[in-house]
Amino acid sequence: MTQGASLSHRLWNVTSRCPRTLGAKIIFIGGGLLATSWIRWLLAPLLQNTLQFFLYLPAILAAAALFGYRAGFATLIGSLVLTVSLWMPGFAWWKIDETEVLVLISWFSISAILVVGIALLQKSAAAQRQLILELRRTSRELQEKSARLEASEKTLAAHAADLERTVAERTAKLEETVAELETYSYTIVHDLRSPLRAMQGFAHLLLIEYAEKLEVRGADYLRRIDQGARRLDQLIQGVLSYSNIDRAKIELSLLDLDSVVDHVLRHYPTVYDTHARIEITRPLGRALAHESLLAQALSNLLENAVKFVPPDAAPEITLRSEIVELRVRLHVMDRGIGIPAQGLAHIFKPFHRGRDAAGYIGTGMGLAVVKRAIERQGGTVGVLSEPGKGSDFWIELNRAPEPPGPAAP
Amino acid sequence: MNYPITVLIAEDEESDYLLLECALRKTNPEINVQWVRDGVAAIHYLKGEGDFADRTRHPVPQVILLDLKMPGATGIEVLGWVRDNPRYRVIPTLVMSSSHQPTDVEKAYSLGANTYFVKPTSFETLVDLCEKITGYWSYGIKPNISPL
Repeated sequence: MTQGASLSHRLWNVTSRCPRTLGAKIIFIGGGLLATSWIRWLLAPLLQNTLQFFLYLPAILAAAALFGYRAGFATLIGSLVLTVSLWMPGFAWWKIDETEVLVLISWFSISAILVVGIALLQKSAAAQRQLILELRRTSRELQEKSARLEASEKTLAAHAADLERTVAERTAKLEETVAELETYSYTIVHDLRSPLRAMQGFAHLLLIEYAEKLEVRGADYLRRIDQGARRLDQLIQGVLSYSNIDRAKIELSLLDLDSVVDHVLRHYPTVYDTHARIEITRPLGRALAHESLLAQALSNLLENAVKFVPPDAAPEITLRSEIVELRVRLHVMDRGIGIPAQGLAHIFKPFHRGRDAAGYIGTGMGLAVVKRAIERQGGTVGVLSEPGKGSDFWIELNRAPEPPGPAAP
Repeated sequence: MNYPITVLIAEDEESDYLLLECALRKTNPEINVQWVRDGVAAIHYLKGEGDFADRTRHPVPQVILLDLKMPGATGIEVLGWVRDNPRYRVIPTLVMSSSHQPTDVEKAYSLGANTYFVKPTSFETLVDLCEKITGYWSYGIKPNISPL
């Protein structure tokens, strides 16, 4: 801070503490004038006719410094009046002489300049002080803000670190769980299927090799053991193929639906080992799909279409496809027993078996596998059905863009 | 087409072994089935060590059937040993398992398994499978391994 600033600063400090009401001003000015007059009266024997006005100057300047130039001028005029009336006994307004006029004017001018100067100084000091206060407040606010900002940054960083740690922990845990699940399902296959093989195998051997020693009821019990083991095995396989779909690595490629369907019809025994009449409206088109997952879904749909027919009825299946914007929808339609409306909502859920499925062998996993397999290929599944008339299951997959045809000659 | 063929079966599960043996005998009554209960014993058998030193009672097999999951040495480990052995690497070796875990299938074939098959749950299917296996290998020319 410069010397001037420090001086005005100090001046302001003094002056800013005074009361600013009109009464306070009058009391101060009057008191100053009276006190000065009293001092002058005390000093009168010493001073004689000198310093008649000069002693009032401190009071004038003090008033100007404290209350501004108006109070300064008021005090100045007051002092002039007092000087003239008290200390210049020979003075009379009606016979004023040149020297007296000159003296009064010079007193007035000098005092006025000082009053204005002091008042300006005071004002600038006030302004400066205000500015400094403002600056201080602003800087304090800024400091507070930056401190708050820093704190919140720290909190944010802590949160981010926390989050990162949590994510890492969760990921590790998830990986662990997935690995555990894989071991789990692997163990299921090995350890559960082995006793199943024993149950089925030995029940079968008993039936064959000890046929003549078995009564009808004994043979029936053995058949029930065999069937139970078979069902449990199918269930295990269903759960496994369902969970395997999630773990399979999916690579979509452009597939010819006709050849995928042909492959399924030729290689899946649950489909080709039947006397089903299958009608295909070719060409079925192409789709972006994963071959083995698509084949699995299709074979499950075809297996259902073959299976869910009234007893002694030959299955009749129609396969056709339609293009729905950028997708291709493949329908597998049958004339089987159909599905009641209330069953349709749950039909794609794992382990769901419709009421009408009671008489048919199954695990309730087939359609769940279809849905999961198609969804993993970016597709959707759906069904329309009428009990007693048949069902129309469809799968919808993204359609690959047609390859450019041969150029026209 | 029946002829005395020696099959070495490495299988820790007795029930599975009994069913397999039964199915094999149904397809070929002349078959000589040798059974070991784990992978280490399979290697001992092939080396002709300890209990298996007598080659008239425990001849060198023409076909080896390995269960995948066994205590001691797994089927894959035994397969690796067989394929690394200059004398026995020529023996047709089949791997059987309860699952078709893609990693297992890949490993078995990359180590030189002749076939990988999943043990069927139903006995009829097992008999059918055994018929196919013995039928196939009865037509195929088998390497001649002189006993040590």
